[in-house]
Amino acid sequence: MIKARVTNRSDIRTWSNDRGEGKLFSVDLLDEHGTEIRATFFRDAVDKFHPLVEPEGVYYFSNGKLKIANKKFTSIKNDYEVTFDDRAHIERAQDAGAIAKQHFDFVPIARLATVAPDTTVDIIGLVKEIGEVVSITTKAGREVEKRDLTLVDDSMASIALTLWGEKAKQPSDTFENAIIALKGAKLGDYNGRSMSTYGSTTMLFNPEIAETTRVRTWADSGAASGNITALTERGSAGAGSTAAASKVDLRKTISSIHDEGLGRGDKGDIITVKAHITFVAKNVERPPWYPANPDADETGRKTFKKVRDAHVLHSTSAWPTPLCFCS
Amino acid sequence: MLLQLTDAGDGTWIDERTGKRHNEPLWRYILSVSLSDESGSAYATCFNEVAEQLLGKSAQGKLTQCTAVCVQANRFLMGCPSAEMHAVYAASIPAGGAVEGAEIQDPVWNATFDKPIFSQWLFTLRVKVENVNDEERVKTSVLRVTPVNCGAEVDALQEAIAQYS
Repeated sequence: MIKARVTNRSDIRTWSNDRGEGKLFSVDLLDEHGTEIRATFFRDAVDKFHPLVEPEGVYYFSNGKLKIANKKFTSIKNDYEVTFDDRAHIERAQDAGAIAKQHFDFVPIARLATVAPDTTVDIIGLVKEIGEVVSITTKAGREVEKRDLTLVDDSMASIALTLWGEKAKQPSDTFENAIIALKGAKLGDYNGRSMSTYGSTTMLFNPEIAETTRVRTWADSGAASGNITALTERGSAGAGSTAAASKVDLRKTISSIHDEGLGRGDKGDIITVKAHITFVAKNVERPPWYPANPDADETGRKTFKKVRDAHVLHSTSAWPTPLCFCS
Repeated sequence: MLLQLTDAGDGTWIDERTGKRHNEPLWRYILSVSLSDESGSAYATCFNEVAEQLLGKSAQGKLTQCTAVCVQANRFLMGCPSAEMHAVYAASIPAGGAVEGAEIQDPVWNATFDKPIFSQWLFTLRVKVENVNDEERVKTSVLRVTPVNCGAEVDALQEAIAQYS
């Protein structure tokens, strides 16, 4: 039996596949030692327990089944998770305050640059920019709301955050100058680095924790308008940045290009190196620019393909009139 | 997919697939740079957005001027008849014409294109092996440059060190 606080309760989700259909919801549990575990309720247990286990409530849980956790979908640091069916036994317990309201493992925003994409992380930050709620249609044909925010913290870095579903629909003024703590949000690599919420992500406004005070103090000192490094590029939807964004930011050394024989795959390899520029080529025969096609291709994307035909360079009429060369 | 423009010979550039004509192509940077870190060095190609970032915003004013220089350089290289330009570039080009490996020597040019030398960045690279004339060549292009965030670097280093113990 465990005594634990429900720190998060997901919505009820249904599934349907070859093997049948069903529904589930999950809760994140926190005990007085600060240990967390996720518990998932299936089928009949959903109707029975979803109204009973309320967020922030403290309960005794028993008669569940332990299994190995799938860490892809959770930031909860536990190798196991629990599943409950309708034989579970759950009883409300006295809330003596020994169990914290929420357990966070915040990653400073600046450090997200070196965390692998698709990792689930907890972050806290000040809302710097608030986007409108927009409704989009998913590939599956479902309509869903999203809202883009920019969060900044005292690691002097900012990141774009996309809220989905109910989280996006909160009124705009709740985000105004708010400090948001996210538990179990997804780190993606769209336009560099960006965050998005899962249905299971917990979002808290100005939570009463030490980190809120720390970020608030930092923001009030005026430092938030200082030299902030943006981890998410904006508006540069060039072919290069899109391609880069879809790949893992893998830190390597320059010698690894040769030593590891990189680049043999179909699409090559994407790596990141920290390096100095030591030389810029000034070859007389190959000037550092090229004439590109100004038009968009049939996909509507700008194409900047190199004009390969050598004899075009002999043309004089299409080049700008020569200017005075004395500088 | 490849939209190539070809000189139509009458002052326009033609897309041979669609037959559409352009009065002028769009000029974009293609900058070849040498990158060095503690392990070695490699050549990499920077396209327009990256090149603009490296050359810096303060270079913007110069850029128009420099583009003019570039265009003129190309003219010269392709046999431009201008005597003035010839004089300026004569120093850069050895007797007998442009030979492989010859470098452009011009104050405006150098002030603009040497600016990023010895600057440090995080370079996100695409490394791809391509076959050119039955010979394998590693092509490296810069997809993105990011300023080095010292705090994040130190954090990453600490994490890496922690993994040794």
